[in-house]
Amino acid sequence: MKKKLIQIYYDMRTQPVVAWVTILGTALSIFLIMTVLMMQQVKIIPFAPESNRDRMLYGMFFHLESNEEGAGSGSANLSYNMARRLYGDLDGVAEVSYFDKDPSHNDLKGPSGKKFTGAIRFADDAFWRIYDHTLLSGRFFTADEVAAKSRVAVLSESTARRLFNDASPLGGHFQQNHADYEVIGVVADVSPLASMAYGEVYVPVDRDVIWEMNGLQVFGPFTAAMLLEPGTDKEAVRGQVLARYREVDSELNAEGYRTVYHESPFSQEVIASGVAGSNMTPDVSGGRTLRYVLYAILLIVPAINLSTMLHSRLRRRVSELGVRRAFGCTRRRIITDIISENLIVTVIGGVIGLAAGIIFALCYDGLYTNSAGEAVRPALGLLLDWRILLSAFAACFILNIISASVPAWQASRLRPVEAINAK
Amino acid sequence: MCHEWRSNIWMTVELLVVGVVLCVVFSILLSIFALHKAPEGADFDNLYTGWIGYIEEDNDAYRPYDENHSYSTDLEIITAKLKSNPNVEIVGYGDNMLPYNYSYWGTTLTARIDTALQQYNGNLRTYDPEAIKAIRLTGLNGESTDELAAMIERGDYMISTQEVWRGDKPDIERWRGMDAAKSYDSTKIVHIGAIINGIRRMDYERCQGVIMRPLSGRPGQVVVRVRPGSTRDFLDSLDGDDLEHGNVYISGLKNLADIRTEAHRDVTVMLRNVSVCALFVMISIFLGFLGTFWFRTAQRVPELALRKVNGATNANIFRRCFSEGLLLLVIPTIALAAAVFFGSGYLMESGLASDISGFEFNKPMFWLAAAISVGAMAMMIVAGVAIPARRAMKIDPARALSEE
Amino acid sequence: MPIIELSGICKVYRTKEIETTALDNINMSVEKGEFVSVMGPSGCGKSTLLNITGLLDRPTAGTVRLLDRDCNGLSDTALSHFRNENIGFVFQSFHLIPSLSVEDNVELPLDYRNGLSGADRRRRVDEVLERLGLSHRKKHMPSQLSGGQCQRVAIARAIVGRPSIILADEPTGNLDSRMGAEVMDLLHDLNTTDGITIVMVTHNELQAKQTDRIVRFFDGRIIS
Repeated sequence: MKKKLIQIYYDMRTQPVVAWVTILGTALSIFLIMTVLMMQQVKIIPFAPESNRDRMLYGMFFHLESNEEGAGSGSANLSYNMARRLYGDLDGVAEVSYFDKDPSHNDLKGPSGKKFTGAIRFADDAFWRIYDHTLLSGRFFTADEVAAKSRVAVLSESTARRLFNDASPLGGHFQQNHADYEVIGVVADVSPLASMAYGEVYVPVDRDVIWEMNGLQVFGPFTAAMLLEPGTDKEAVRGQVLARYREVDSELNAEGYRTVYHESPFSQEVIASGVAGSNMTPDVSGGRTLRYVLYAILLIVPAINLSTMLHSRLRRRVSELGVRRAFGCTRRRIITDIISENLIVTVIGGVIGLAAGIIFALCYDGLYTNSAGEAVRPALGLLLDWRILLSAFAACFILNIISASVPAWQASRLRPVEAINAK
Repeated sequence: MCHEWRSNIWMTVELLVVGVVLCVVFSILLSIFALHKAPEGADFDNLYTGWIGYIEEDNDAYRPYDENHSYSTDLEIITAKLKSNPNVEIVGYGDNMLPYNYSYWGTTLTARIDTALQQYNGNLRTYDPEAIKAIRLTGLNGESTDELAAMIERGDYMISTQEVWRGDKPDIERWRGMDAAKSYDSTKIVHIGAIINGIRRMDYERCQGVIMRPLSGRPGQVVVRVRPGSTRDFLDSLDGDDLEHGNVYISGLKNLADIRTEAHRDVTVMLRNVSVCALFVMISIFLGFLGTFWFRTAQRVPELALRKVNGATNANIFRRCFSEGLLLLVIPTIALAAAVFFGSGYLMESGLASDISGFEFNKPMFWLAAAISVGAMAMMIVAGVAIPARRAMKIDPARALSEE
Repeated sequence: MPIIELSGICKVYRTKEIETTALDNINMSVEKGEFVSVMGPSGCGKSTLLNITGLLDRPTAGTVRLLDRDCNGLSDTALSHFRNENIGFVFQSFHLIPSLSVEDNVELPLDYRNGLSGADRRRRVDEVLERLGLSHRKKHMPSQLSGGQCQRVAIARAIVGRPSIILADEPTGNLDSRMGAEVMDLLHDLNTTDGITIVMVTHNELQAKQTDRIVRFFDGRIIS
């Protein structure tokens, strides 16, 4: 290993332009790959308070079509009753929360006198059991308070400071769209990247809100968020939901409507991809294919460059390769040596690219957005997740294999005699 | 150059791949540019919008009305306060009045044109006359904003032209002056007063149907037109009480330009991503040619020295380097041209390009994109070869040959 | 039993336009412990013979037997292993790896030898450097050495694997007479003390006469 590092250093010194083109090309490729990957991963990787993302399913929409051809249809989020009908008490589901997945941005005013707009999360008591918010003081609201539509609220730490300055917020009162609320708890601030758990003010949801369509009371602002038992098969849950859709169908037929099933409930990947719509079956494969095509471009184009650079670097070492072969180095060993040496160079470029990607993500506004389309910056801890670091190394490895295989193979085919005497 | 055939093949392959990527990117950019520049039927600049909240009776903050006061009178007072602001031109009310949200809350109108029953599906938007004036709506047949506002005031509906539709395309221009049934209910008849120019829900979408109806009942949304130049100062010029009175308040007042930016964030992000992709592949070309020609120049010092000895000028050497680099672009250019010539027809007829990208294309766009791609690659090749070419120019032939 | 046996060796180089016969029906054997010189004018096939003997090139016809083993049918990997264990090379241009130090250059053949621990390898390298008087130079780079020192490093590299055969292609060609004499002394010492069989290509008549036998080449054939 030490000899390899020495040779690489010597190589870089004698051919600095080629070496720097190699490292910059690799760094740029890894920088972009990691930026694309991080943009996607931060929406999927579990982090508090959405620490159970891999076990979450979301029933968000309901879609109806009229049985009369060409007549109306409707699709929207669910009413509370329909959400419970479809997603309540399913086998393999540990907990279900019925809440409004889109925070409202309403006016807030507290004893501090400041009036500002805040993100209001309308949720129920189960919300606090499926997400792991850090409770700093006080308590969460209870099932009774939700049922009674109590005007109680849990604030995020920064919102509490804005409303109450340095005074203790517990027991204090503030106005949300001119309605008076009592503060019962304070939680640590949540990143807007946790799009389902995020809020600045959390209040009990009104289960009676219905969006009526043609006399039907199936639509409303509700999403059912389900935390599965460990080991539960998501397809099995979907199977149960589909059966319930069929039951609802038979009742709605009498009203002249039928349901359209769109493979609900959705996983975190579907939510993250942004393809979930009220009247379409989400197709994550399209987004996935596009990402893979992008990764392929970001790997293949620089790989061709790097291959040419490596070929150039090896041409200066032809004589050395001939000598190695003379002293017993096999062709396979030539290939593995070249690939492993090149991997070191690739990893150097990759580390630079990854560091640049992380710094860019931390500094540049607008790279990451939450589900409301607002720009957010991720925390450093989230970007240093082991999955991201492993992906960076995998990208380096793949780039190395693509770029080094052909030159290494060509170098191994050199006839020792010709190589030794080459100039 | 012939001895570098392996390296040349790889670079040609790279140029081919990059050429395809650039062609796709520039096609998308051209499509977005064309769509973005399409004219609209209203003026959405210098507008603010917000939501109207009503304190209901079950709210502790509710103040009971006497017989002379109601939500309407509270709203009129708020309107008067806003209009007294020197920055404000017009204040209007309605629901779902403005684009740049993802709402498609809509309905269907049906009308008998000649003997055929036509249907029109549209996004339902509700306006009072002042709101029509605020957005400066114009009609397809030259109706002025004031005329359209008068139509709304007398209870007429208006529908827009459309570029996408469901089912058979309705003969929209025949609908002017017709009576139509709402939601297939023949007891709910509305009169179509005018056809308006299409209004896109988003800047990068084709016009879908819009049904404009008069406001009745309590409005949920306010739209404020401010004087040009005062857009950034408007919110600061408001007092805390300007937006509320009695049991009515205006909440979340925002510049429509900001809402527009946020609404288009997906497209902006996509544009940014494809542009970065294009920039990346172009930089790759630059780095690749820089590194390769740097190495080649170093390897060919004796040859270049000999050329100079035999009369080649610096300009000859310089041009030789560039032409070697640009020569590699010949095959990718031919390949791109062939791909556009043979492939563009298929992509458009099958709808594959639109299905995958979500944008509309035409043949001139593809040709232009291909031409820009070749130009961009040529530029990067020239930039990448320039430094090694300069180095080659500076070779001292005597010294180089003696070292050899 | 000869340690090197070449029977009916032919080497023909073919291009689209011309066919060149570098070696024409060569029969040659070298006994164990012999020090043989190969002489002849430039282009007569001496180096080609050395390359075929060292299994760096395959003959167009004929057989190569080394250490009583027919090497013709061996795979490339088997040839590599055989070279590593039994043959050392010394080249006219030294062919030291410029990015490696003296000790790393000497250790090169052991990088491809299985069954040796790192400590054993270092011990062997130190022994060989000590023997050749290069211990004080082991951390130096080839660019810091004289021509004679470079060639001694090359010889050290050739013997560190304890080969039975050394093939030297004009080992003193790039050296002055004093350094050339030093190198020749080294080679003789390896031959007499360690019993290593040496086949050396040379243009130097004086040095050739110091060897056990001279094989003279002309136009691809042995003439004496």
